[in-house]
Amino acid sequence: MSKKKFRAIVAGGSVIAMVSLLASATPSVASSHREAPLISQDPTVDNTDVYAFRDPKDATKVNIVANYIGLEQPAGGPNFNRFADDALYEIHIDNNGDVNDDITYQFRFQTFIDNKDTFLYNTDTIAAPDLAPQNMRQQYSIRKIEKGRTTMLRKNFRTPPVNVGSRSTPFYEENLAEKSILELPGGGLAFAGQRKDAFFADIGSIFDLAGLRPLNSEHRLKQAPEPGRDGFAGKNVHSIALQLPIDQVTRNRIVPTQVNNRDSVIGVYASSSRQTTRVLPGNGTSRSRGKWVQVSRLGLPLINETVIPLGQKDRWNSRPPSKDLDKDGFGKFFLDPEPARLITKMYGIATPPAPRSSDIIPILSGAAAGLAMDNLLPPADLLRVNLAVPVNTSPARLGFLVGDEQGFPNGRRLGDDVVDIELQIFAGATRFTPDFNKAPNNRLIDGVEASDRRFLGRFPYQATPISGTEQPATG
Amino acid sequence: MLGRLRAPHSVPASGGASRVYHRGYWARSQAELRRNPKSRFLQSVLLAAVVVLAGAGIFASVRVGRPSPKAAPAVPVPADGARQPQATPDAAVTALLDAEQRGDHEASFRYLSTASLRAYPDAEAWGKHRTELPEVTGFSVTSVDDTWVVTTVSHTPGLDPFVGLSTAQDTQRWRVVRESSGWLVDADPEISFDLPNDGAATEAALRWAKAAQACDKQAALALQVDSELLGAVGGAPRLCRSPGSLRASKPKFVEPGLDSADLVAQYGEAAFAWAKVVQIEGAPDPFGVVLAPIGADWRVLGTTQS
Repeated sequence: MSKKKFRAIVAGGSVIAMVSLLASATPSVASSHREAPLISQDPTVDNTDVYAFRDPKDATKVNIVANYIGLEQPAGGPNFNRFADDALYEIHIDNNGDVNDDITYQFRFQTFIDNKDTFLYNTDTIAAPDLAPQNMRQQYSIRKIEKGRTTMLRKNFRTPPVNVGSRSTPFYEENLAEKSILELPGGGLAFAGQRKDAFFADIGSIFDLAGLRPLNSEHRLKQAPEPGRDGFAGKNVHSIALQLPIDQVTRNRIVPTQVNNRDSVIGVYASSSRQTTRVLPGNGTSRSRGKWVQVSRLGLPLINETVIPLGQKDRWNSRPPSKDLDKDGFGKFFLDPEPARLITKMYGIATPPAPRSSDIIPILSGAAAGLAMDNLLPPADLLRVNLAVPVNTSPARLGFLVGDEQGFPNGRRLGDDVVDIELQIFAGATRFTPDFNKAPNNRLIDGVEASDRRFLGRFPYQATPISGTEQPATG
Repeated sequence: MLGRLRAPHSVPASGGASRVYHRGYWARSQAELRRNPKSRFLQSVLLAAVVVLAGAGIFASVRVGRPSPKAAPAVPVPADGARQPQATPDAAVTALLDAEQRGDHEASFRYLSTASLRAYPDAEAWGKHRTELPEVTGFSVTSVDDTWVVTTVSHTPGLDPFVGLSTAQDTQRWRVVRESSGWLVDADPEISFDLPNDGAATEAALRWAKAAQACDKQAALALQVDSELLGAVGGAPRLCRSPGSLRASKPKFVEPGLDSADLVAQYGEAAFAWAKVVQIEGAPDPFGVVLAPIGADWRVLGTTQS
């Protein structure tokens, strides 16, 4: 499908969606863990989730979180997980709606082994980061690119050690993680290190022919209904988190107050890149050379996981969102998402017909992020967050589906149930397609409603990583 | 990073401080071989090696922007169609570098030759590439002909894992092409830079080792690139309060191997073009000091075990 044709469909869809909006409606479905064949073999650079939300304690700040190394086993010794030293990690921000980067934060990591004559990650209790008992340490450098100019924000700042266990890393949060929060010059905070994965979903059942355990009796291959099981319970990730002053990331450099204003919206995605060539000289080392090539990216959750087909996933990972609607891009998959067809096939539930230009496209254009239908942005696979929408002190896990305008897909908070929200979006259970915004479409759930660990009440918000010694036996 | 720096040739590690890259070395080698017929066999071997290495990407930077016509895909048409050929070769290069000095990659993209669009099909790709290079803080044109414009380009000196080495000044040789009744510029210039002299490297390494021997962390830190040292720690930590009169060798370029694995992970193989190692003797355990050229000085970057 040509970009021109795609955009014509989009334009037509916007009109339809406007009519739908006027009719209004009452509210009523791994984000990217190991989602593509190639990247699933390279977990240290596999971008699993991105979150972007206005800070609940300081509404002048926005938090952006990018997670890597999905399904990380807490008991990961002796060589515990860490970021890749030979990779480039990035967080991209578009603040003028053109889907291109306006601000980019880049991260490079560096591992130090102080004593190469022991197998131990640490040789005694680590009471504070960077002290001698921590034998393997990782640091990072962070720089910002804006308007063609680069600014080194910090070189060689610590990441905390991983949460090894009660003997090695007692009082992990207080002693180690909190002391690894970096104050950025000019305002803002940064953190890079291990966290409990905030994502929650019943991936065991979902990837078993779209099984939703609470609805097992409705599935074509019927089973007894049962509660969902969180496939991410007991699993960690490695996380890069930023807390940025909103007036440093918006186009007009203010904390916006007008919701229906394109300049109030930023689009976010994260990525990782490797160099083109890796050489194994046969002496126990490896080295990389060549240009950086993007190998993973993520804006909206579950897109590459479920919308992009297997044969396209790694190519999708290699391209920026700005190319998604090119002639050789991925527009057709957004217009006719496979999960919708799967819902019909497995549960016999009618979903809106393709092309989904009256609901999916407006959502990709900011219609669920506070913009009116006549003021939408170009559709894009970016996590778009409207920074004029006030913080909801009682967030609802189903976000905009239940009238919580600060929730996904207006950005993404850690507790937003993106699986249930997207299931229902694919099923058409939104205000944009009122004919489908009814049972059973708006009852589709996976039965997992929250992470197994409580989030922190402060930056970096994701919960303390599960230690190796407390890893569940069945984890 | 290799996109910026020429891959190094095997010049002697001591003696001249100037680091000349592939193109100059190749021309000089050809002249030497012509003078010495006995070296025909060596020439053949060398040529074969270059071909193999080039195929393997060792000399990738030389070819960037000028891929083989046989292997090249169709040249993309720029989305904006806004090539801006200039009246003269130096005007084209000056316009490109002026835009770069302003940080305006969209503007500098307009002066690229059509062939360059194979590597950088749009301003976004070009801009991303340019942020991986040292920022231009100033430049001057030193010579011009119908093929090459040679410039001296200034940067803020430094070393970081995003850009690699930024020398205070380097020589950039830009290829220019006549297109659309004007002149445009091939994307990636040949770059050469001068390293500080070897004697300064020896002196810096010895001063650092003596500071470590005197347990003077502040003095040692002042001679380092960063507070943390790369590589195997080796004998360096045992220097504090150790007896013995320290001596330093002449520097050599760092070579691939276990000792340089951390260095390469951070700065890529380009580090082999500028990183030097000085052996320290007279310590309880001999070790090497790895140095990086920062501006006019050599700074300590790490240590090696041997």
